[in-house]
Amino acid sequence: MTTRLEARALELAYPSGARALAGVNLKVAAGELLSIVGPNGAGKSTLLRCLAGLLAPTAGAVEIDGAPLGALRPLERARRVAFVPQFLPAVPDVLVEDFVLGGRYAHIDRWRGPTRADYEAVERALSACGAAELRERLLTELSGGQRQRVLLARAAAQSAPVIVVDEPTAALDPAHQVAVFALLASLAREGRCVVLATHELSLASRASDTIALLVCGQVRAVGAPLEVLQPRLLREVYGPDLLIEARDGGVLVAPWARLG
Amino acid sequence: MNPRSERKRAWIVGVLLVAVLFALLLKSAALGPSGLRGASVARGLLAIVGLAPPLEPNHQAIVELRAWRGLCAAGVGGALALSGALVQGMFRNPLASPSLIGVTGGASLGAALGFLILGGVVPTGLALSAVWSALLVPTLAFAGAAATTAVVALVAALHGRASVTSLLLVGIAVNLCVAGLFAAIQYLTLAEWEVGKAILAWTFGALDDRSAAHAATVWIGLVLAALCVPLVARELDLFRSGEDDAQALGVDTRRVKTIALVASSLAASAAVAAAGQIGFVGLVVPHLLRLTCTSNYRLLLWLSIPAGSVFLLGADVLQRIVLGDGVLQPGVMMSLVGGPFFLFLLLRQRREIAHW
Repeated sequence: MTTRLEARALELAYPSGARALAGVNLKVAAGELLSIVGPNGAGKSTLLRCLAGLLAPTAGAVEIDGAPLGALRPLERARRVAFVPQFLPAVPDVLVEDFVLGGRYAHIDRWRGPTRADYEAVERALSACGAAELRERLLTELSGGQRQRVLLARAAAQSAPVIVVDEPTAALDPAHQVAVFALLASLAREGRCVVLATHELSLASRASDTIALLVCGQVRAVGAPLEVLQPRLLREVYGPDLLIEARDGGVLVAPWARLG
Repeated sequence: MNPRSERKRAWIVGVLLVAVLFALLLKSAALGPSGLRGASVARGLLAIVGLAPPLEPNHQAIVELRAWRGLCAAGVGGALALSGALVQGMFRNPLASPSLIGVTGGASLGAALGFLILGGVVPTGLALSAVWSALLVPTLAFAGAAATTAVVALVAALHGRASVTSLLLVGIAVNLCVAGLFAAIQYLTLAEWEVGKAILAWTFGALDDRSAAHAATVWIGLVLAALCVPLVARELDLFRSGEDDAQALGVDTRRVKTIALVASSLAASAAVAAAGQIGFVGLVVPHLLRLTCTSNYRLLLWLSIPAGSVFLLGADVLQRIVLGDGVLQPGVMMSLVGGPFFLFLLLRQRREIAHW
């Protein structure tokens, strides 16, 4: 498989000198689903923003198909990589289909406006993400699960070869978590490379091709889910209160402790 | 609302507004105590553009004065509303208005300086011709507005990325400095009765005694600002879900903020230079459109121009019918009529405001 997204020796230092990322190397191929896991504060979100070209690393580089992201203008960057935030900073009262059309910004000509190809891309993305029936609803009226589907649809409509997703299942019930992982896997099967950060280790172990365990800004382990999600390593990183069980080709990991 | 029907509705509202605007311009030219009516007013107006022989000089002058007043009111209303819509879009804040980025304060300071020079308080040693005397205050007002906006933008940009929040805070700080200077000028001219009165009157706004130069000032500023609308409209729609989100979609946020800032400052300074301080229009007209028509910036920015024109000119015509000429200055009138009206709308449509 050819590498589409590559991060080389990424460093990110805060003005105080504290390092959020310390020499991260990652490669993702077309059609691959990579989950980045790790404790809170490990640098997952920072890494994702660097991979999406929204945050310039202090040192190192991110390349998509050989083109360094830092050198691209915003429009060119957006044609190569789509970013799905964990939450929208503000939720505007727009129709879902208009919101998803926003994903086509990098493709729409300023003077001609959206073309048929843009509306078709929106339709395809909405059906692929199971959000077709939400088309005429207001974004402000949707539940958390519906809004996550719409955010993913907007990223799919962006038609970028790389999609970067920050904690897509935070605040979702179990059924919606399963649905979102299935959706991410299907987006990868269409040939995109999909990178996500998550705390949902069990589902990540079944949906991902590769898992990277990030600890203190460094990649502690990277590889196939069963290789990375080893009980000893997980207890070392997350502490002892875990239920870990290999099952059906994945790993069931749940927080588990005697409380009170 | 379905986007197709929203667009259709915006078109209908736009056409209606333009039609009402023309009617108001004609009404404004025919309104006054001189007894000039219908046909002669029409002939006087045609004479301005060279399509008819002029009326006798006194009457012709009256018609022209009224025409400039109407054009000024329409231009100032449109420019302030467009400026307000741009600033609200950029700051994603329903309380933003042109005064926030320093435009109004800077213009007031420039105008006050102009009155000081005209009143001989600040000796310049220049013999100003009649034309320059008339243009001095608008020119300095424009320069003051442009200068404060530039300071706001520069100071905010000094710390690398000019975030919307830092623009806002710097705007507040610069406004405070400018207000201090303005108050100092007012205090120091307390003894200069005529100069102090002129400065004070300017802060109420003025639509009477306008010349062709005033009308040209505001319309040139308005047209230049309107030319920037296609460069930021789609982008400001994406700003509604946050600046970071727009950036991720490929929006060059720095460019959009710069263009929106320059365009809104251009429109507002031209308006203030032509007619003094008229508050409220820039804050309220975009909200009226959001409450009644659309919050989509591709439509809202364009609609704000005729809506602002109709709002200010309509208010001016109405007060001239009810109260007679020049009883209340436009700034005062806007606050007295506009405040309660806006409050009424807010209370009626609370739900929409929550998700503006």
